[in-house]
Amino acid sequence: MPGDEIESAFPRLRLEGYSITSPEADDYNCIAWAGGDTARKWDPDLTSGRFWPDSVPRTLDLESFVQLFAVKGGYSPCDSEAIEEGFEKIALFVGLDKEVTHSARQLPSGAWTSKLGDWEDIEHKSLSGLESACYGRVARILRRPLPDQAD
Amino acid sequence: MATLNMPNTWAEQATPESLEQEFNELARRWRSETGMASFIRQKAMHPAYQMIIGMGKDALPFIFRELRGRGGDWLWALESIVRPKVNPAQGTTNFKEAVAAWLKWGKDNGYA
Repeated sequence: MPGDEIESAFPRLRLEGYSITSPEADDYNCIAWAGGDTARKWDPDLTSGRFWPDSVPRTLDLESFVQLFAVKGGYSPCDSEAIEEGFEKIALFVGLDKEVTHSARQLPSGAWTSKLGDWEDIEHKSLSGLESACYGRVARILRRPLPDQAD
Repeated sequence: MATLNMPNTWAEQATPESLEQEFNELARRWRSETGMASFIRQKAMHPAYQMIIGMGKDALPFIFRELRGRGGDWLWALESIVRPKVNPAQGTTNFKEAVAAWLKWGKDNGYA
């Protein structure tokens, strides 16, 4: 997807800074990408070709995704998107209908990485760069100890 | 009592060329407006995707052409259109494998 279409969907990205870091792909989505999986789509829908843990409710509600990342990565809610030494963070976005629209994962630099639907992966300096009519706003930050920091 | 002489299906009104043209325009709109969406339900609720489902089996050759060429998440549409209920990708949690299973079904049934 050319950068101008990305910037049309997410007008703040260009101002706040981003770069494209992968080709387009439709075999994984932003939730899988945040969870470190590039082989599957993580999606609660029952349509074939999607992954979702049996123990997590099959809804697009925020709490289902909090539970998903607890089960699939040991993440728990925290208060700040600021980088914290020894922790990895995930941000969950929700739209006006309160359903989850997107997730982003924090990089060691403090920047964020996102898979934009079927479009490319990007690295973006801020979460607010993706706040838009498409993705709504950040509703929850999760964190987990980095592997070498965990007991 | 007067009866309305209305065509039963979209396809009865359309030539193969106009049907393909209509599909192409709907698919273009759907890709453009949902490419950034993360979940199939958000993509499948788009009006253009629903209109393609409404084309019924006439859309299948075009859907398989897209699936084989440009890709895209057409599995909700396939599961909605194909009757009697068939799902060659039932239980598959990997998208690529599900697409491969549907492409094989499409080929075996003369759609792809």
